[in-house]
Amino acid sequence: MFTWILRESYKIGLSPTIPAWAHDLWFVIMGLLIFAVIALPLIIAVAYLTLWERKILAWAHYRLGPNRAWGYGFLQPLLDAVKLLIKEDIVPVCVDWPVWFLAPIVAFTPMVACFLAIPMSNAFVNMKLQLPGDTEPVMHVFQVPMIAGNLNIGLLFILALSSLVVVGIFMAGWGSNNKYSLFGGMRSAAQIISYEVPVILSLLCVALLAGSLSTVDIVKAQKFIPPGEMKTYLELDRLSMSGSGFDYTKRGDYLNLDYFKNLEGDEKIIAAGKLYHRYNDYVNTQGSPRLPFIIPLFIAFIIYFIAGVAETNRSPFDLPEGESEIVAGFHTEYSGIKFGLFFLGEYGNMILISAIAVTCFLGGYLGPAIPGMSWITASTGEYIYYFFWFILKVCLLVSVMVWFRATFPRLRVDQLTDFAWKALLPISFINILIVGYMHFADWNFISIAETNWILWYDNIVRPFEYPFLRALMLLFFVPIVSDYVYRYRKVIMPRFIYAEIAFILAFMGYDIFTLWFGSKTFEIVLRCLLYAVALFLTIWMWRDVILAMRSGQQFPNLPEEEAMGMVEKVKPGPLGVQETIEIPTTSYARE
Amino acid sequence: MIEKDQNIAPTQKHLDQPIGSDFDQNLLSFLDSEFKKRKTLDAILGRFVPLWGILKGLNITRKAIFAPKSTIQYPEQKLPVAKGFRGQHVLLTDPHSEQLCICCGSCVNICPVNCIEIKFEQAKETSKRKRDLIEYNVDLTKCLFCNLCAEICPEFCIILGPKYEYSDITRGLGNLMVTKETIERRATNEEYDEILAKKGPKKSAATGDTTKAKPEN
Amino acid sequence: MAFTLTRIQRAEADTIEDSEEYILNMGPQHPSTHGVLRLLLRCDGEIVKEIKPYFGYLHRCYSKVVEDLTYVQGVPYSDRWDYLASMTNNHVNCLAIEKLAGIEVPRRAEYIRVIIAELQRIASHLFWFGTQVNDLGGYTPFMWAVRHREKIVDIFEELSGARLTYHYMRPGGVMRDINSKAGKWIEEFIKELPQHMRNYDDLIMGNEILLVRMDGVGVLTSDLAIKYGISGPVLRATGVKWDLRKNIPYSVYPEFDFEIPTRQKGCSLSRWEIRIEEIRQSARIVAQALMTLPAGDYKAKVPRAIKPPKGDVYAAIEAPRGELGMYMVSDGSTKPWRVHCRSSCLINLTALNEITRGAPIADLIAILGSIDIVLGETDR
Repeated sequence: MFTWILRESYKIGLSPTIPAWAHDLWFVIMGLLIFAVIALPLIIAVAYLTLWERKILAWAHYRLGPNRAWGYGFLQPLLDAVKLLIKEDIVPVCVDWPVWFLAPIVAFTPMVACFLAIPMSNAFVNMKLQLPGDTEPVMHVFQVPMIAGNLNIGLLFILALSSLVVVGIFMAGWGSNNKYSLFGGMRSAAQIISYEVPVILSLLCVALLAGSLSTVDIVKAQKFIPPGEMKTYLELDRLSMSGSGFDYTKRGDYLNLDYFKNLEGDEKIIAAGKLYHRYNDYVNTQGSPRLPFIIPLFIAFIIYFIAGVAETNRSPFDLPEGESEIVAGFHTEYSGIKFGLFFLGEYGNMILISAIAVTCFLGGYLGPAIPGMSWITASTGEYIYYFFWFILKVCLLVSVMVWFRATFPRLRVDQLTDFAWKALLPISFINILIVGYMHFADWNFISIAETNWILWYDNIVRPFEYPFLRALMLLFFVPIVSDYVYRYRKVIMPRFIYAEIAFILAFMGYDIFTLWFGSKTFEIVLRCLLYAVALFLTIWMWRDVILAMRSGQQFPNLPEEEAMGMVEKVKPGPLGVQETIEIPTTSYARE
Repeated sequence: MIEKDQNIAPTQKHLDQPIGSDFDQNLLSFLDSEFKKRKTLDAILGRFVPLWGILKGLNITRKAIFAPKSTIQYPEQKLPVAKGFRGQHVLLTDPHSEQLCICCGSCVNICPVNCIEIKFEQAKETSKRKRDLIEYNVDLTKCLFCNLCAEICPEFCIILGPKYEYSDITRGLGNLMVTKETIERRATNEEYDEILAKKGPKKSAATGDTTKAKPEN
Repeated sequence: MAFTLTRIQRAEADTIEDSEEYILNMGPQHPSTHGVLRLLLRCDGEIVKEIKPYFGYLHRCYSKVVEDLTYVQGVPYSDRWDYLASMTNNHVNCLAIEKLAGIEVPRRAEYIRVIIAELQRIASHLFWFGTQVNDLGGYTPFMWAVRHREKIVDIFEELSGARLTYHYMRPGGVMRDINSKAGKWIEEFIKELPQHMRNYDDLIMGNEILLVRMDGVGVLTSDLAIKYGISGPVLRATGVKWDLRKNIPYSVYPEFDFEIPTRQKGCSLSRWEIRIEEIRQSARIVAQALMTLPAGDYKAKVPRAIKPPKGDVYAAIEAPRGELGMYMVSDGSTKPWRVHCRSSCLINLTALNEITRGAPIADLIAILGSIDIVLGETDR
C-alpha cells in the first residue's frame, strides 16, 4: 500500500519530482514505521517468549515458573533485560575484536529482516479519494496485506536471509579465542547448513502447490472457497471468457453485475471492489488445492518443522550451545547485552520458523468462516480476526517447540548430521517426487492406475539413468579411498569386485537388452533391478564403514604396524555376545 | 548373627512399633504383577509407527504440563518438618524454668568436631544441683548436626530442634555461634513427661565416664 | 605473561603426539563432571585420544581425622563420603565396627537396615538417572526423578531427622525405630513405584534419541573390568554376575528373594538398564522385608566406649555405586589405629581412560555419567 501511494501520488496532486531531502526523509519514515510496527513488537514478543518458555518448561517439571514478578511473572522479561543491560561487559584478551564484536549483530539482524516478508493479516481499506479527472470524491477499495514488503519472491528472500545467521554463529565461535566456543561454532555451522537442504526442499513443495514464491499468494492459495462463493467465481469465469465484454482486471466492469442490484452508491462500490479483489486472488491461485497445505503436504510439514527446530539450535538439536558439555558453546565469552542479542536471536528464530510454517502450511492468517461474516459486503473487523488467527497459530507452533525442549535429550553432533543427510534428505526427495506427480495429476489418486507408465518412464526417468549410475559409481568409490576402508580392505575388496561386476552388467545391459528385447515392460523391470543391486552394494559398502565408526571398534592391526611393533595392546571391544562369568566366592569370605 | 527361630522378647516397649503383619501382605505379588505389565497396543504400534518412543515421550510431558503443580511459595508457605528434625540446638529447661542441665560435659566430649563449649560454676548450697550452667556456646559453622550430643545427654535436655533458618549475613559468626540465651526454652508439659519417662524411675546423677569436665577456673 | 606455561602444563603439552591434537581441559568447574573433577583430554578434533583424570579437589583427610576420634564419633564422618547415598556409608562403617568389636545386631535392626539400605539404593539410582539425563539434555526427567526421590528423603527425614547426611545407622543397630507413620509412607512409596517406573520407561528407555546416544557407547570388556577391580553395576554390565549381597552376603540378605540383573554388552545402555532393573529389585526386597518385619530391639546394648580387641577387619557392602569397603585396624584402645575407605567410585573411575578411547567428547559425558561417580567418595 505504501508503494502504491508512492507510485500514484502524482494523481492526488503531489509533484512527480520531490526534493532530495523529502525523498530521503520518506525512507527514514518508512524505516521507523517498520521498526515500530514490526521490529519493536517482535522484540517484545521475543522477550515474552522467554517467559512463556520458562513457564511451560516449569509446568512440565511439576513446578510453577517465574511467578513473583507481577502476578504470573509478567515483569520477568523486563527484569531480565535490565539485568543483562547493567552487567559488566567482559572482553577477553586476544579475541579477534571486529569478528567477535560483530557476531551477535550478524546473528540477530537477518532474523528480524525475515519478518518483512511474512503476511500477518489482510485488510480491505475503503478510502474516498478524488483523483485528477473526477468531479467528486469517489470510494476506492484497496486490498492491503499486512506485510512490510509484498515481494513476489518472498519465500526466497526469507530463505536467503535466514542462512546468514550461521555466519554470525561461526564468527562468534572463531572470534572468542576459546576452544569450547570453537567447538560450538563448528558444530553449529555444520548443523545449520545440513538442515538448510531439507528446509528448502520442503518449501519447494509449497511453492509448487501455490504456484508462486510470494508469501501473500501462498497464504491465499490455502484459502478454502465455499461452494456459494465458488459458484460466483465460475460464473465470472464464464462471463469473462464468453466475450460479453467483461474484463476481470477492470474495476468498473464489476459495477454492472447483477449481484449488486440491491445495493446503492458507496455500498455497491465497496462490494464490487471486494469482489474484484477476491476474484483476482482466485484467478492468481488457480491450480492450488485450496486447503491448508498441511493436509496434502503433511510429510513436508513434519520435515520442515524438524529441520526448522534444528536450524534454530533448539532441543533436541542444541548441541552447539549444549550447556552440560561444552559449557555454553559459541556464546561462552559473551556477557551482558551481547549474550542477550544471541539469546533474542535464537528465540526470534523460533518465532520466525513458526511463522514460516504457519504461512506455508497452516494457512497463514486464515481462519474458519464465522456464519455472520459475508465475503462481499463490508466487514471492518476482518483484519483483526485474521491477525488473531495468525498470532494463535504462531503461538501454538512455538509452544510445540518448547514442548520438544521439555521432552527430548540432545543428539550428538554426528548423529544430528546423520539424521539430516540420511533420513530427512532422502525423504524430502521422495516427497518432492510424489508431490510433483500428484500435483501434475491434479490430486486425482485414481489417475495413478490410468497413467501411461511407459510414456512416463521414457520421458522422465530415462534421461536420468546415465547420470544416476555415474553418481552411484562416484559414491561407491569415495569410501575406498578413505582411511577407514584402507584398514578394512580385506573385507571390502571382494565386495568392490562384486559391485564392479554389477556396474558393468548395468551399463552393458543398457545396450544389450534394448537391442535384443522388444518388450518394454521387461526392459524396465530388468534395468530397475540392476540399479537396485548397484545401489544395494553401495549401501552395503558404506554400512560396514559406518558401523565400524559408530561402535568405536578398534581397527585391526595393519601388517606394517605389526612388523614395526606398533601394535595396540588393547583387545577390541565386543559387538557380539560374551558368556557370563561366575566368580567363586570362597577366597573372600571371612568367618 | 541371631538365629532365625530364636525368640526375642522386646526389651524396650514402644507404643509405636509396626511389625510385618501390620503391612499389606500382597505387596510382593502386587509388585511382581505390576512390573510384568506390558501394553499390547503399545507394542504393536511401536513396531510400525516410526519414532514411536518420541511420541510416547511427548504424551507423557503433555500430561505433566496439565497436571497440578507441587510448588510451595516459600516465605509465605513452608513445608512442615518431621518431629525429630535435626536443626538448631534447643536447650530445654523445666516447665518452671529450672535448669535441667547438670553440666556433666558429655556433649562436649562426644562432639566429633568440638563445637560445644560450656562454662559452669559450683551451685549454691541450697540448690538441688551441683553445678550451674553459665554459658553454652555451639559453633554452628562446625556442627555436623549428628545428634550425638542429644543422644548422650543423660538428662535429655539438649536436643536438635526443628529450626533450619538460622543463616546470617554479618561478617563474623553472628547468628551462627548460638548461646544459651538463644537456644534455651521451657519444655512443654508433654516434653517434660517424655523426659521423665526416658530417664526412668531412678533419678540419680548421670552414670558413666562423663564427669571429665572441670569447673571453670 | 598469558603465554608462559607452568612446569606441569609443559609436561602435559609434551605428550601431544600429532600436530593435529590439542589438549582440552574439562576443569574442576564443569556442569557435567558431577563434582570437582578435572579431566585433561588429549583430543584430535572431537575424538578423545587420552584422558588424565585429576581428582583430590574434595579430599578432606577423612582417614587422618578419624584416627583421633572414637569409633562412635567417626560414624558421622562416613556420611560425607557418598553424600547421595549416605545410609550405605553408615552401614559399612557400622559393619566394620561390629565385626571388630564383636557386637551382635538384633534381628529387627537388621531388617530395618535392609529396608533403609534398599530405599537408599532406589534414591541414589533415581538421582543418578536424573543427573545423567540432565547431562544429555533432558531437563524434565531430572526434575521428576528428584521430585520422586524427595518422597524417600521425606521418609528418611521422618526416621532420622536429617535430609542428606542421615547418621541413622549406629554400631549395634539403628538410631530410631520405624514408627507407623514412616512405615505407612514406605508402603505407599513402594505401591506407587511401578507407575513411576512405567513413566520413566515411556519417557526415557524407549526414546530413540537416548538409545542412539548410549547404545554401543563406552564398551568395557569383562577381563578389563576384573583387572581394574571394578564393581557394582559397571561390572555387571560386562557380564560378570557379581553382587556382594549374593556372593559375600552380609546382614540378612540371604533371607530375601531377589535377582541380580546382568547384561552382556558392557556399554552405557547396559549400565542404564541394570540400574533401572535394580530399582525394581530393591523395591521387591523392601516389600519382602516390610511384610516379614519382626518385633524386637532396634539397637543392641553397646558399651558407651567401644574398645575392640586388637586386630583388623575389612567389611564391604554393595553400595549403589559398587563395592564400598572399610578397612579398620584396632590397637585395643577406644580410637582406631588406622581406617581406610575402599572407594567404589575411585576404582571405577580408573577405567575411564580405557572406555573412552576413540569416542567423541559428547560420548565422554554419557560415559562419565553412566559410571556414576560422586566426588565425595572418590576423594574422601
